[in-house]
Amino acid sequence: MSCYKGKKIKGAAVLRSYIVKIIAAFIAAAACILSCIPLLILVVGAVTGNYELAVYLEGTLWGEGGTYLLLFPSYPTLGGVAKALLAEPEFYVVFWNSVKLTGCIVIGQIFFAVPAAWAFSRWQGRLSSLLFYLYIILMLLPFQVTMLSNYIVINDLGILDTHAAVILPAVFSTFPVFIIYRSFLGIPEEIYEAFSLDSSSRWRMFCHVGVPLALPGIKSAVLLGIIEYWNMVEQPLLFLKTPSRWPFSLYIPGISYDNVQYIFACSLIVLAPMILIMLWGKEDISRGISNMAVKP
Amino acid sequence: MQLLKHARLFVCNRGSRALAVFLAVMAVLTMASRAVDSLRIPQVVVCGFEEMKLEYPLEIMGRVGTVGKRALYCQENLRIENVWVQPNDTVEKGDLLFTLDKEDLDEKIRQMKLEIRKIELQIADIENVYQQQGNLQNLNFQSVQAENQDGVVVSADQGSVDLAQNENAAKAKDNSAALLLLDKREAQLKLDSLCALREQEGNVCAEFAGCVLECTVSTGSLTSPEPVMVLEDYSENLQFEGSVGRERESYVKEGVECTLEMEEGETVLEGVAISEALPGEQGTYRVTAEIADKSLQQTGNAVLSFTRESKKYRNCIPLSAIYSGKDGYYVIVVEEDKTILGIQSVARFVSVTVIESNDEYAAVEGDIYESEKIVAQANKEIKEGERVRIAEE
Repeated sequence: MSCYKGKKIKGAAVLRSYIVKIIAAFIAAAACILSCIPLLILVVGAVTGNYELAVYLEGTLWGEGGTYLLLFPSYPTLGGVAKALLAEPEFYVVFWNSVKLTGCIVIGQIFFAVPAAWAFSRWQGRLSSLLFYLYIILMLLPFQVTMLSNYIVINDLGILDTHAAVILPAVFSTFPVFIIYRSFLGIPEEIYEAFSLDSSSRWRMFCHVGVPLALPGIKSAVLLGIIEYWNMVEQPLLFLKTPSRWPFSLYIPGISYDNVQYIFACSLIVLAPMILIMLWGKEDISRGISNMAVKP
Repeated sequence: MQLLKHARLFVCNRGSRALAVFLAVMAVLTMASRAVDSLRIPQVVVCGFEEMKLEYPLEIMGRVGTVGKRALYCQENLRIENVWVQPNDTVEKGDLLFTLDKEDLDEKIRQMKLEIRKIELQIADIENVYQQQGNLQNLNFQSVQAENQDGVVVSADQGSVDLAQNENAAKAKDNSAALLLLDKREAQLKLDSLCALREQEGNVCAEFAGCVLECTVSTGSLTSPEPVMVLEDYSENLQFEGSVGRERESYVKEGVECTLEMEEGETVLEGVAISEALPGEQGTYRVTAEIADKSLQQTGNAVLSFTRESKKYRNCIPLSAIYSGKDGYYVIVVEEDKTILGIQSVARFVSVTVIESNDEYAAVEGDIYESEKIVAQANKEIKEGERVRIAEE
């Protein structure tokens, strides 16, 4: 009897567990679908005509009327994409501005962050610890807090309204140092000791041991940097006044609502490199993010 | 070196190649979009404001002619052997105009002489008749007197009737003879004229310098009572006569000095003043200008031209730079503007008021500056705020 009762209880628990799992799966699926809706709207909007978009997004665009989710356009058209790709040279100006800013920032970050992270990981003393804590504090500070001081320094340097005003502060960002530092810490000490038997050069150790073994961390820092600076808005908005120096993040919001399809098309095109980067370094990005969570 | 090797490993993978291809495609499309944009963007020719007086050139088509005309007559029924001039020919004094047929002239002279002879004979006949009648009456009178003397009573009335008949006969004789004498004199004059023509071998020459306006005879034709030719006499002043439309009435004022240009030749006379400007027929305005300059000895079609000038305006632009919209006239100003593509030329519409205009330029005023560039020509329609490309000269 007790055995039957025990089996019954166990069966109920299993059933409850299945139900919980199914509910959780449904919730996860719903969350997943919800998170994909913006992407869906973007793709559908890029192939929908301006008139149809104006009807469906009337409430969003003009503040009057309703907004409806459009899944299938009545008259699909690639006019907006063609316009963005062929008829509007402005789009390419802002696109290449974004490429330039992002590329310069990421390359600069690697140039300064890898040696800095190596130094923090290899020379752990009071001074280096203090410096590292300062780095952490700076990393935690949001941009809005450092915005004014950044502006004053950039203005005094005379580089306001130039790309250098955006690139220079970002090059010395602490976030990639932190990620790469974590990667260097992940290298077992025995490997360094083994290499020191062959060579006493610390530069060689950095080049032959540190960098190759921390490459996934460096890669994740690069990819996260690209994602962050490709979409940056505040820094260009604050430091760049001349429209010809703007990245796309400032250009797209300025497009007239009469060209809604063009807005969607531009957004879709600038999303393309991010999709490629995700395909390229999905694992590295997740590893870099997970490294940040591991306590040294 | 080792770091470069790591960097190569870092970027040499499928994802980075895909990214590189994407960027390469975007680079190509960048060039393509620039090319498309250069074709799409309106190309304009710009001009600036000019300080100038508006000119109103006017050309009056007309004819230079003499004030008076003279007709050339010739005896009737003379055969023309040759005509040496034609209408609009300019002739000098003594120039050969036409030649009469000499044989015909000889014949006409001979006929005229015969005519005169006939008249002479008629006169002689009349005188003979009168002579005979006179003699007869004398005889009658003498016989009457003799009868009276012989005692035959003749009334006083009978005698007076005979005397009256004698007087009437004498009067009739006088009139007929006188008329015939007149005929003879006229014939003699004609004969003299014919002889004079014959002496000149039938050639008729111009007696003054002028221009042939009309010529009613041709080779082989006969002369008539109508003038053989009508000529303009250059010894008198020439004048220009022409007409303009009523819409140009305000341009034409008496005393305005003009330039006269003959259509044939290269004669150009400056300072020809308009002497008269009066309304003409069918909405025209008749303009006359006396030509005091004696150096012009030519008539024919001519153009009288002059230019009226307005007061000086500071902002004058070509008419092609002025556009008309629902709110009136406007010009398109090209401004340098900071755009996404850098500093670009952008069109701005500015309302203007047209103060005065001629066929080419207009004086305008409005919210404009002298240094601004104005679109004078565009290869396509321009919208407000649109980028434009200034065409290179």
